Amino acid sequence: MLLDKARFSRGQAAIFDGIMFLLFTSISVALVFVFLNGYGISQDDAMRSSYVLAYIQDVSKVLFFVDVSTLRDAANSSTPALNAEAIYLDPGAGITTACSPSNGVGCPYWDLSYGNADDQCSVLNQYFYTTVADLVKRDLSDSDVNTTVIIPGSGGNTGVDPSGLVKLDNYFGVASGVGTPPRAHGKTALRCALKELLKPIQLAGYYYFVEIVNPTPYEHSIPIPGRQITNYWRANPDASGNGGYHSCEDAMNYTTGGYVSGAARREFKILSVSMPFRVPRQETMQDMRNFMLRICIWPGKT
Amino acid sequence: MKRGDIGPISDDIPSIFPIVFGVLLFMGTAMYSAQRIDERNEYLDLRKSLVGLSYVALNKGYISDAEFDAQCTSQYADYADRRRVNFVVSLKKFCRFVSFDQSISSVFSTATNYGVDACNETNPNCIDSAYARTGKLCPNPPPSVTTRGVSSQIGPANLPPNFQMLNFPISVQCTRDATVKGPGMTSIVIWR
Repeated sequence: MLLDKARFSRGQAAIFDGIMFLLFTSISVALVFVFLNGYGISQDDAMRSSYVLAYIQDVSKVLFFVDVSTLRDAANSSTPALNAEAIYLDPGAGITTACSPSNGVGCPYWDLSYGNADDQCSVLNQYFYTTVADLVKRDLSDSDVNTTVIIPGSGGNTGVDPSGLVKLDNYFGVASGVGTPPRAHGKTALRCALKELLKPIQLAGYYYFVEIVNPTPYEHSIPIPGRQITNYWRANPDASGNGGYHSCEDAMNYTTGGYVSGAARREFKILSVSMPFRVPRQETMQDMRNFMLRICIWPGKT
Repeated sequence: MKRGDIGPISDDIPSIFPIVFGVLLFMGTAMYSAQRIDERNEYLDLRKSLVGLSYVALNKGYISDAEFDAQCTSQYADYADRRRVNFVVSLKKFCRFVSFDQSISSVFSTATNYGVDACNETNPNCIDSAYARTGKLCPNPPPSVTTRGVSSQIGPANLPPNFQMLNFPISVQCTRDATVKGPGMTSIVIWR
């Protein structure tokens, strides 16, 4: 009787071993699949980031070679089906219908075709053998001079701005005895160039914002209503010069109610590329100011 | 051997089934995962080669016609040889605006879509009527690939299953004397 019981227990132990082996195997297989699922994902992400980074760096290099006159047709550059900027929708902001050239709301590039003549890409037709970077530097070279600018928050009024901001404003210094300063359409050139060069980024669903920064003391470009260098219409200040993005950081500060300085930062993955951008001073045209050109992009969600 | 027999071997027989099943499951998983890892490694290696070739091709923001031709036979081909990959580098000289209104087939040809730009007397925006702004290809003609036993020049109809492609902006020569440079686009296609 005792012997029979022992024999029965032995058979039970054997089947128990088999089931335990199967259990361990199943756990191992599950772990292998978990590993397999994540294998190479981070490397792939790194590769994709390196591509986007290389692309943005290429854009900044290209600015030093492209002749501004070749950008004169940039605003008319696509068939309607591909003209993403003309059918830009922003449901998060209540813009659910395609933008119309009659008002320009929701159309970040509206003024490149329909706005003020100085904002249209066609104005670049007058510059020959001038690169985009050359024209931008000419535009910026008066940053130490009290030029006539649109005063931020003044309802679009112009006036002499003495604060020595980074004056990427399409003006070149002050014309002595003349009401209107001479023009250097650096900002328009930069807007038209980036509209073209960042097309794949935009069509992939990203927003971009480009700025010229003076690192010491830290200053941004003057925000001008409707004229920020961006494909995101919210980044533009309103007609009174209020709101809008002043820098790349503002993309993280934006709330659904509008731009709020110091608001809780949203979790945008912003990719930013900066490059030195040395600009001669207008008074002397000798010593240089060490500005920086900064391009940042982030996923297009609101 | 009787049913329910207890002996040196016979009582272990029932446990053989889960053990064999477990071994098969594990070996199958190991083989499948090895295959997936190989595929992933191959993809990542191709991707790395593609990004590497883009660094070679776009070392500065401008490339002239002569530079493109010279680099094609030296730098691009050398790099591709070292990485054991096949490649096509396509240069589109838009010169006015970047147009994506074209099919993938245009990547493998020198044709460039200029939109309404036609260099004739009625178009005052024409930059240089004497200079043909066709695109450039490296190598030209593109290499052949074999699909379903048929060898033919690579194109949209016979793209290899593991091909990868990236686009980059670049400034290009828009006049014969290269005094005017305009926006262009480089497409790099790679496969193994």
